Formats: sequence, structure tokens, C-alpha cells
Amino acid sequence: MKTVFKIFAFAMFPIQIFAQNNDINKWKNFGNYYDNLYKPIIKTEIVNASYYQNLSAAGLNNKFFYPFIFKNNLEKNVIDNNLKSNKLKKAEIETNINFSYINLKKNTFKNKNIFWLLNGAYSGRTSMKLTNDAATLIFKGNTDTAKYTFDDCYFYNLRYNKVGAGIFFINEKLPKPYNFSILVNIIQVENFADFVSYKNNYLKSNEDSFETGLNYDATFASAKLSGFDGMGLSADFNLNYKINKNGILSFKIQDLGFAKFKNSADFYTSNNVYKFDGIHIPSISNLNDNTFFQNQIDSTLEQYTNKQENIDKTIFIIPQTEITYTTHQKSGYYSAALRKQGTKNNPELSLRYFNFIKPNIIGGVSCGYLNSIFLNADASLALKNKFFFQFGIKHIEALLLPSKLGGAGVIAGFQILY
Amino acid sequence: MLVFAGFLSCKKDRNSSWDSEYVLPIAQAEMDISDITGDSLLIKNSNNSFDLVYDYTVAVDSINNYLAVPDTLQTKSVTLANLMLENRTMSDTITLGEIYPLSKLLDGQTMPLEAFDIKSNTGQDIDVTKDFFKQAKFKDGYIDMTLSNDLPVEAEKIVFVLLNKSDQQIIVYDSFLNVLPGTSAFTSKPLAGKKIDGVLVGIVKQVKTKASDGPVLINSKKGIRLDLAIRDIQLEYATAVFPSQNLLTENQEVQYNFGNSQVTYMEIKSGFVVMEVFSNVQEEIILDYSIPNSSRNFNPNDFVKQTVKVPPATKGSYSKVVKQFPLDGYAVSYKGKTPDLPPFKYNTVYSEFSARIEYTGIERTISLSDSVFVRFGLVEIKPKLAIGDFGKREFNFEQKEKIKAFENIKGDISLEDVKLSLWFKNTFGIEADMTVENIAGVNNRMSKTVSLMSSQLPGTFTIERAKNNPFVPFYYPLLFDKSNSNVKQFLENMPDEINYKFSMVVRPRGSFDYTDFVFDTSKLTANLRLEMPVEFGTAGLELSQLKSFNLNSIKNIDKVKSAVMKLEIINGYPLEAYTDIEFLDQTETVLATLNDAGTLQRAMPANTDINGIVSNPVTSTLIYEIPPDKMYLVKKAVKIRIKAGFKTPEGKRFKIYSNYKLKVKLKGNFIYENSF
Repeated sequence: MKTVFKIFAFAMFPIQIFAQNNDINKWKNFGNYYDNLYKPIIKTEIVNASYYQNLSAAGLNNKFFYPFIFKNNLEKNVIDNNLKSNKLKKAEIETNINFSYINLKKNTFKNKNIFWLLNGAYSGRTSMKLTNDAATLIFKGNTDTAKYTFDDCYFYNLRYNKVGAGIFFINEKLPKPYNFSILVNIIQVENFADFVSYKNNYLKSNEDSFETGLNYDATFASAKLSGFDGMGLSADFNLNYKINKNGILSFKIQDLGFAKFKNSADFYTSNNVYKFDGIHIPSISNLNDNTFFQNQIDSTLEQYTNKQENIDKTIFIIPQTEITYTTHQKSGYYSAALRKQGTKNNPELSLRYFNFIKPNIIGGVSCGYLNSIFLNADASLALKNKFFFQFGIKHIEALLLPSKLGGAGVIAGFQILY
Repeated sequence: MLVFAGFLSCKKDRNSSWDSEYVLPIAQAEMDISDITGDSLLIKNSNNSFDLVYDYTVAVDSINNYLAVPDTLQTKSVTLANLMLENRTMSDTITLGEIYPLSKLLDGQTMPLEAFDIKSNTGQDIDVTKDFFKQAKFKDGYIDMTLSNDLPVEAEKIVFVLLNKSDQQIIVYDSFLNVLPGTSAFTSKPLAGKKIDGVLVGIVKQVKTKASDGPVLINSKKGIRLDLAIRDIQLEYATAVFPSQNLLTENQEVQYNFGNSQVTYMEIKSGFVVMEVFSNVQEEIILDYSIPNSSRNFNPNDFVKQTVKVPPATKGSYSKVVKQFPLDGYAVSYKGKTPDLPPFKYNTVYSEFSARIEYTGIERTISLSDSVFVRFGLVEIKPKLAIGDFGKREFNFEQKEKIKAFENIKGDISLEDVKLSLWFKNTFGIEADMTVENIAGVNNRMSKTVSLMSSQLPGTFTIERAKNNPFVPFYYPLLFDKSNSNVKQFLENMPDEINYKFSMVVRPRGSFDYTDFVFDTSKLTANLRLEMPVEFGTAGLELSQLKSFNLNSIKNIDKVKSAVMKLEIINGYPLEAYTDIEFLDQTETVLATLNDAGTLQRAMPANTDINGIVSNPVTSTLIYEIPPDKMYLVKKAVKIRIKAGFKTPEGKRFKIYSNYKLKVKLKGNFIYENSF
């Protein structure tokens, strides 16, 4: 329970929740949902801050992940339990901190339907797939003389900051109203890692020798926030379209762009089989050289990596895409969404039910599949149609069964209207 | 958000971590005795046994003691000795029309011409700028003037004045009487002390003619023709186009200081002639430097000679040239200008130096007060061969030579046999008397010294000089073995230092007619060779070596928490061996040892047959556990002392063969702390 409490504490952060309703009265307390086509737009200014973090895993349970979340030591028995099964080990981690501002009081371009908006965000995406052997090598070691294989593994990590500006367009007077927003962002990628292994990756080892098959590509790049490296551009696009009396179709594409690293990216590759039976000491006099072993280690590793350091690299950022259909029924609101995170993972499929618990409180539950089945819950609170709070918790199933399932996440949001 | 941010910031300096266990081979080596002694010290015999040979050479005397050639530069600051112009002539005519303008009206007519007496103070410019000079002041010389009467009547009197146009100084003032038509009158005047401009004025002060005897052809363009010539000119200064001429010459002998040495001949390996010239002469100066008594490749015509051109100085300034010419390969006589004639000279180089100008066709201003400052001579001379008399010298020689092979060894050793050769090699062409005072082997670890004792060691002996053409060095050998000396005890003392003490008198019996010689490679060396079969026994011999150590220089080693090291030794030597490593701090205090306290793991000796020859190697596995607390101390160590101990079974002597090998493989099992 202590862990569950920590996860809930973790969840006390803002996130923006969307909902639709054609009942204007029901939605009148939630002026913060300016792009919700179930209600008319309110002439106001909105400041938004939100936080989103989600970890979805397969083959690894929450007891394995908690040390990473809470910066503790990963115990040997936890590792052993997670490595018992030969299943693939997969994890997707997504973090997003977002600040935005929109002025709906004042139209722009002399068009009553166009408003400008500002946006700033920090985003992080990590995606990992390991064979059980690869995970064993990393988390346990190579004491077993069996062959370890690590084909078709990957590790992808992208962290970036962005600031952007754009427009919000809305047309409410049509029988099928719609709105969309377009933003252009300046981005800086702080950290980029992309490792992919192909076929014929293995390690056969004992205390006398190593035989390693390596067939991989890896790119790493990083930039300091204070520098101008890793800079690029991206674009965001959001569309909401009310296709019938009750149904809204939404489409979102976020961070379609690129970033460039100048002389600061490292590339490693290999496609060969290597054998190592210890550093050969050709002469006893080599032991007088303090750098001999390090030089030998470096030259051995060089064969394994064929490294190209400090090269130019342009990164094309895989955009996050999402398509959602929401419908309002007598029993409440239902939405179905298909979302691709912007990494190498499979899409996330989710179904959500939400409704008004009180005029100023919306509650929702959702379930879906991303690496494994998940169960989420969320709530939204409005105070005098001026202050708004959202909070939610993700992967309730894994929080309740931490030794069997892996996943955790929080959503939190806060808006002010004036 | 703030709460969460604070929570993250508290956590951000911590990482999640876990321990993994990795097994891997670390290092391997195959060693034989040459890895310890160095290949150059071993001689393999036909039966694959080894002789160990140590060679040491000590330079007792070298060329630096005899010949250091100092840079010797001379400076000359000279004004021009001579400045001359060649003889020059020019011609001009003062016409009848100019003397008597009315004649122009009668030009071409044939008629009687009346006598006339015309006096005038106005003259006519005579420009000698192109033919003579623009301006000159004369130290010596003459101006010759010939007046030719081209008038059709006799000139009873012609008074002629030649003066500078600018300052009206009179150059020539003379009268010519009764000059018949078609004849000439001549006069010559000295120019010494006179200053003459390039534009002169010729004034016919008076022309008095007789009347013609009858009609004559009046030609107003003819008159008194003036031919001027200057000759035997010596100038103080002039602005003119100068002819080629020598300005100064310096031939001289310079004696070099070679200390005690008297050199008569030198072949130069490298070195330079340097010429540094400052000139305020407004004409290009050509400097020639030569050493006539020198040659290259035995060709006397190929002697040292160099020419330097100094560009004209601008007025009020000077021009500078610095040149350096290599002398590599030249042979130079140091016996003065006339090497084959008395008086006998040494250390003396004869050289010739001159300054000259050549005709350029360009007008220049040159004065005898113009000067040339020159620094010239020989620098950085490194002789290849020097011949002469290098003087008598007496000196004592004492040197301590480290014997690295023994400096880290403690214990005892029993040698089967040993030889020591000592020979002196003289490549100087100089004789010396040598006395070997002492040769002592010092074991500083045990504070024990053994002096070499032998009936073969003479008292004082003569090291004869080497011969030249062809070159043959002189050798003086001495041989010591266990039958004629205590050399076996000398070596079994395992000296880490050998002390030599010699005394020497060089050229003790006077000069060999200045035929002693030194080459740049000449040395007198004492050469020592120790030879012993690699056959020894020991009841306990320990090698110890202190080294700097920094385990942290290996990347990520800090993440290794503990280890178990396995040292697999395949021993092909008939020696039992152990090893230990002491990990030390800066003050050489022991922090930890590789072996646990009180334990010392040993690699067993190879099996041998009845002849003491290894029949098969023996494998031993030594296991060293390094738990986290010991690993912590090992990482802190900045020095290590590696100890290796050996003993032969029962202390018996064994011969070591070339096929004996020691194979070592180090493996590790590490607990490694990963973090994320």
C-alpha cells in the first residue's frame, strides 16, 4: 500500500483532459476546454500548465521499476524474478510538461475565428525492447556459459524542449462545426539515443574466452540547454470535427520536425564476430607502461564499435499521432482512441468512459493496451469557472499487482481563466 | 508541480543501481628468460642452452677534452682606399657666330675678313655631365685642353676661361697666342683639390685676329674648337657613373685559441663562414672572402671562397647583408699563409678579403669617406679530423655504473662458471699511459663490495695511439675467469653497481712531430663483458620492483566492487615461483597485499628428468579474492611493489634452455555496480 500511496502522490499533477458534450449547460462550468465542440467558445484568456508521465511495460513488473522511479537499489531477487520468464522485455516511458496560453478575447488577422496561442514544453520519450538474454547480461551478468542472444533489440530515447506560437481557428456556426490549431516550434534536443540490433547478436563466454557476434547501429547525441546545438523546428496540428449530433472526431499530430547536431553526435556500428581471450602482453616491459591496459582495452573496444565521434547528425523526430472518436450517449461520454507515441513501439489502443459526477466534477475511467492491458482513472474539477484542476492515475492494475505487472503513470493539470 | 519538482531535485543526485556479475579473461602472456633479461643479453648455444652476456662500455676520454673550436669572428670598419674615374674626353666648339654675331649676316660669302678684337665676359655652357661626371672633387689628376683654330684667319690672341657654372670657381684660365688657321694650342692644368661641376662655362674672354690676306669663306658655324680631357684621376668624392674598381683588400692571418692544442690541419665536418656587412656606399659592393690554403675532396682549386653582394645604400642610411656559407667537407691548413715555409705556425688560418664595385652604368655618389663595416669568420666549426699536438694531460677517471640486472634481486645465487673480459680501445691518434686503480662490484642492498682481484691486472701499461691511413684502432685486452681471478665471487655478490677507477697520462712522451690526430668519433673506452652460462641454483631469490600505480586510470574501474582473480600458470622452468603485490600509499605504507596475510600461493616447478632437463611443465592455479574492503584499498593505492620469488628444488643448479616457457593467464570474476 505504501507504494500505491507514492504513486498517488506522484499523480498530483496537472494534465489536460478533453471531453465533449452537446449539452451546453453541462459544459458551462468548463470554459477551459476551449476546443471542445460540445459547447460554444467563451471569450477569455487561458493559462494552462500540465504534466503527463506514463510507463507501460511488458515482461517486467513494477517491483523492477520502482527502484528506477524512486532511485533505490535494484535487488537481486527482483531481477531474478523478472528474468525467470523468457518473454521479451519492453518498456515505453513518456513524459510531458506543458505550458500554454491562448487569448480568445482578441481575434487576429482581422478574422473573428482566428486566435493566437503560445506553447512551451519539455518532452521525453523512451522506448526499449530487450530479449531476456540481453536483459540478463545487463542486470545479472554473464556467469552462465550458455549463449546469450540479443537480436532485434532496441533502445530509443529522445528528450527535448520547445517553444512555439500558432493559431487556433474555430468555426462554430456550421451544422458540423470544427476547429483546428497549428503551431510552429523551435526545439532543442537535449538527448538522443537510438540503438538497434539486427540478426546474429550473441555472446558465448567463459572465464577463458569471449565470442561475440555483433550486428548493430547506435547513434548518441546530446546538447546543453545553454548551447545552440541540437536545434531544430517542429510543427503541431490539432483538428476537432463534429461529424454528427453526438460524435466528434479528433486528429492530432505533434512534433513533426527535425533537429541538427553539429560535430557532437557519435555513431557506432558493427557487423562481425569477435573473439577475446584476454589482453596479450607481448613483453613483460609493457607492464611498466601505466597506460598499456587502458590502451589495449580502448583498441579492443574500438573493434567492437567502429566509432565515429563528433560527427554531424540531423535527427528526424517521429511525431506523436492520435485519432479519437468521442460520442455522447444517455449514459455518458465514450471515446475510442488510437495513439502512436512517436517511438518504435506498437500503437496504444484505449477506450474511455467519462461523465459529470457533479456540475463541476467530471470523472472518467479508461482501459486499453500498450505492451499490456492497462486501466486508468481521471477526474476534472472546476471552481467558479475560473480555476480548473485535473488529475488522473494510470496503470491501476500494475499498482495493485506490482509483482506481476509493470506500469505506472500520472496526469495532472491546472488552468486559470481571466 | 512545485512539490514534485522539489522531490525530483532531492533525488536527482542519486541513481538507481544494481550489481551484475561478470566473468572474463583479462590478460595472458607467454614469457621466457629473454623477457626478463632482454634478447640482446642472451646468446643461444647449439644445445639450446643460453649464455648470458652483459656488455658495458665506459668512455674514459673523448674528443671534447681535446678540441673545442671557438667561434672566431673579425670585424673591419674601413673607408674606401681608392676611388677613381677612367680617362675621359669631350669636345665643344665656340663658333664665329657666337664670338662675332655680325658674321652670321655674311655666312657663306667669300670676302675679305677684317681684323677684329672682341672681348667678352659672357660664355657658353659646356655640359660634361654625361661624358665626365655630375660633380667631383679631385684628390689628383689633370685636365688637358686643346684649342683648335677653325677660323679662316690667324688668332693673334685667345684668352679662355673655364669655370663652374654654379659657384663660378675657375678651373682653367689661359692665353693662347698666334694660333694659325687650322692649327691647335695645348695646355694642361692640375685638378688636385678642385671641385668641378658637371655644367661648366667656357668664356672666350678675348679673341684678337688678324685681317685676312684676301677673300675668305665666311662660315659662322666654325670657330674655336675646344677639346677637353681628364686623366690620372683620383677622387675624394664624385657623382658619376663609376667604372669597375677595387675599393679595399685585406689579407690576413688569424690565430685561433684551441687551449692546450696546437692544430696544423683540420677537416671540417660542419661549420660556416659568416659574413655580416653594413655599407653606406651608394653603389653595390661586392665582397670576396677566401681561404686559399683550403681544399675540398683533395682538389686545391676547390678552396673556400665566397662572394657577397651588398646592395647600394640609400643616402643617409646603410644597407645590411648577413650571409652564412657551409664549410662541410673542407680541409683547412692551420699553418698560416705559407704552410711550407718557415716560420712554423699552428692554429693560424690565412684568409683574403676584398671589396669592389663593378660598372653598372648608373650614376652614383661615392666618397672616400664612405665606409664598409664587415664581420666575418668561422663559426660552429665541428672538426671531423684534426692533426697536431694536443698537449700533455694527466687525469683520474672514476665512474659508477649501475647494473640493472641485479638491482632488484635479493637472495643467493650459485653460478656454474663466469668470465669477465676487460679491454681498452683507443681510436685517438694519441698515446696514453693507463693505470687501473680498482674495479669493484657493489651490492648496495646487502652493503657488500667485492673488488676484482687478479694476477692479470697489470700496474701501469701503455695504450698506444691508433694508426691512420688506413685507420686501425689500438686494443689492450685483459681476460679474467675463475682460474685467474675472483670473478665468480665478484658476480655471485650480485652487484648492482660497478665502480671503475683509472688514472691516465696522455701524450706522456712528447709530440710525434705534430702528427697526433683526433677524429670526431675518437674515444678511449673501457669495455667490460661478463659471460656466464645460464645455469644457476638458488635456495631463495627474490625480485622486487616498486612502480607507480593508478587503477583508477582504467575507465569505470570505480564500479568494480569486488573481484576474484584467477592466475593460471603453466610453468616450464625448473623453478618454484611465487608472487605477491603490495598496494602502497604515497608514503609507501602497505594498504593491502594480493595474498591474504600469512598465505603465499606458489606455482610449482616443472618436472625434470635425471639430467635436470624439464620433461613437462606443471600447471598451477592461484586464486586471489579481493572483497569490497580490499578492493577499496587497492583503488586508493598509488604505488605497488611487485615481488616475485624463485627457488630451485633443493637449491640445485639448473641449466636454462631456449624452449622453456612460462605461460600466464589472468581471469577475473567481477561484481560490477551498474547504475541508471
